[in-house]
Formats: sequence, C-alpha cells, structure tokens
Amino acid sequence: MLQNGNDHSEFRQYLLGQLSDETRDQLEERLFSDDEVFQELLATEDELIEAAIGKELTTAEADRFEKHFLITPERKEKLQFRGALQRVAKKNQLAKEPRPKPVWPNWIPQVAVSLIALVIVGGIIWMLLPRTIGERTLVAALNERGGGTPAESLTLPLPYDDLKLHLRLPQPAVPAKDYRVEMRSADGQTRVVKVVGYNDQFVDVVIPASSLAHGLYAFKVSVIKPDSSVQYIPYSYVLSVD
Amino acid sequence: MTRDWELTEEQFNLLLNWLDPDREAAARKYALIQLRLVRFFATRGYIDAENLADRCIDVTVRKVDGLTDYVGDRTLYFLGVARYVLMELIREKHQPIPDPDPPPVPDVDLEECLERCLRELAEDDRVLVLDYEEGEKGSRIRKRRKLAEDLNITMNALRIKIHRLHQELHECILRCLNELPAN
Repeated sequence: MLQNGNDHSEFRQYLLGQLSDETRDQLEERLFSDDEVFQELLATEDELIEAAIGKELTTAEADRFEKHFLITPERKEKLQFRGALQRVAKKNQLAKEPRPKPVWPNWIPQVAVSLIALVIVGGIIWMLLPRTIGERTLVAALNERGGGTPAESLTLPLPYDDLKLHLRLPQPAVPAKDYRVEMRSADGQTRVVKVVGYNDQFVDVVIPASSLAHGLYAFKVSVIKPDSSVQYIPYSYVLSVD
Repeated sequence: MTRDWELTEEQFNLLLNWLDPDREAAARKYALIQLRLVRFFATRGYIDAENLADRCIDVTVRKVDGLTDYVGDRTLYFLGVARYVLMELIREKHQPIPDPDPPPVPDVDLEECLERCLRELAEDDRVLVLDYEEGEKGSRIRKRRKLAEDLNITMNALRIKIHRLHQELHECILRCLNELPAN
C-alpha cells in the first residue's frame, strides 16, 4: 500500500521510464503481488494524464510523457477520455454556479419599486382630487396694522385645504392687466401669493391652509398696468389667525 | 492485436479457472494481469506493449495444463513470464510493429457517451467524479482534501476511488460508443 510521497514519486518515474533497472524490478514485484499497489499505480497514471492536460509537467516530464508514456492506444484513449471529463465537469460547474448575489435581498428592489409606484399613483390621485376651499373677503385698511378696520379673523386648524381671499380694491380701481400680491407675516417674512382672478372690485388670491400659522398677516397689492408699469396700492389687508 | 495463434475459448476457460475457480473473480484478475503486463513492456519503451502482453498470456495458456499444482502467487507468475518474454525479445532483437492507432473518437460522441454514462452512476459517485475535476491546481488540491474529509477517507483512498470510477466510466463509454449509430 502507498505509504508516502516517495512511492508516489517512484510510480511516476516508473511510468515515465526513469527508474533504474534494479528499482524498477523491485517495484514490479510489488505491482504484481499487491492489487492495491497496482491500483495506486493506475491512480498515479490518471494524475499524470491530468497534469499533462493541465500543462503542469516540467519540460523534461512532458517530453517523456509524449515519447515514453503515451505509446499505447489504451493511454491515448485515457487521455482523450480525461479531457472530455474535464470539459463536461467544467460545463456542469458553470451550470451550478450561483449568479452573483445582489447586495440587497431580492425582495427589496421589488418592494422599493412598488412603493415608488404607490407614491406616484397616490400623488397623482391626490392632485386630481378636488381641494376644499374656504373663502374670506378682506377690506383694505389704511395701514399694516389695519387702521380702524377690524382684521378678518380665522381659527386654526382650518377645515379646508386652501383659503381663498377676496381682496376688495379701493375705488375707483386703477386699470390693470394683472396684480401682484405679497403676504407678510408678523415675523417680517414676505412671500408672493398666487393671484387666481381679479376684476374691478376684487383681487382673488389662494393660500394653502397649511402655510398659515398663528399671528397677523398683511397683504400688499400692486397693480400691473396695461403699459406694464407697476403701481403700489397704499393700503393693507390684514388677516388674523388665532 | 497480432497473435501468431488463436486462443481458443477452451484454453481461455482453463486459464481463468487456474486463476480463480470463481469465474467473476478470475475475470477481474485476468483484466488486471493484462494491464500489469502492458505496463511492464510500456515502461521499457515497447510501443507494441499490448501485443507483448498477449504474448505472455499465450505463453501461460500453453503451459496451463501443467500448472495445476503451482502453489505460488498466480499473478506474480506472469511477472516471471514477462521477464522470460523480455529476454526473448532482446535475443531476437525485437523490432516492434505497432498496430495503427484507431481513428480518434469525435469529441461530440465522446461527450455524449460520457454524459450518458455519468447518469448511470449512483448520484453520490456522479457528484464526486465531477467535483473531483473542479478548480485549478492550488484550489483543486484543497477541494480534494475537503472531499476526502467529507467522505471520511484518506486522500490516497480518494485517489483510488476516483480511479475506479474512471475505469467504470471508461468501460461504459466504450460500450456506448459501440452502440452509437455510425456517422
């Protein structure tokens, strides 16, 4: 029975015809008297063929393999068989190799796409839904504090989505092709609000209810005249939000 | 194969019986003896090693009637015959005339038969044979160590097991190739 690497090396040398006559004769006694030893020689033969296919032999070994080992039809058949086995095994290996694992579990992209789609659809539905509107009419006061005119008052939370303000214009109205309205809050911040309509009597603006906090708001109106010049209306409209 | 006389079935049966009364065991012994003899001559550079192995068998068959009382290792007996034949070859300045190589088997046929024969193996053996081929030089050795560990056998036992499976496959492939329709 094969005990160590020396035997293995000896088998290899035997197969390549590199042993001395004496060593070869001794080895043959073992090969003919012990089936296991002979099976190990055959296994070494397989490995030699494998090494030759894998180009793992030294130049000298490769030369002896070609000229000394590969001289029988049986060994040539074994060489062809082993080459085929390696190709089939390679195909099998490729077939069973798992695809590269995604960084995220498989279900995460699917859920993410579903959520995004849900948000988009939800947004579209929300935009298409009619928004509820509350309306108030503000009368111009003499100054930002409202002068003697009581401010229109609202209480939070507002029961609608948008607040539509009808700003009554001082008469006689100045001819206009458009209006610009600014809203100033008590902390001094100013922003332009959306003008949704106007006539000789009113300028209508819409303010999202969610943008209103507690406090006073003053509205400044400017007339954009037909010649595109801008005329500031020296009155304020005051809204109190409680 | 070139023989200067024909081995009859009766003579062959006598030889098998001499090797082992159990017919199957005798056939296995005969096959291994033939492989040993081929290697005996091949390692000495005889390109007609298979014919010379047959010559050794023939020499033994001719004497088998007188060997019934032989008490030694009967496989080892053939080593003696091989050495005797070798001396004859040297004396006669043997010039080998090799049989022409058979035409190579098309790879496509070989692979078809190989896949068919792999399917005929037991599941565990098939997986083992294919796993054994996996990997390049360094990783292949590690892989094989792991296979041996998993099977709870030594690396050497694994080599032998694989060799036997290869033999089994090889024999199956030869049968399969004979069954394939000629192109």
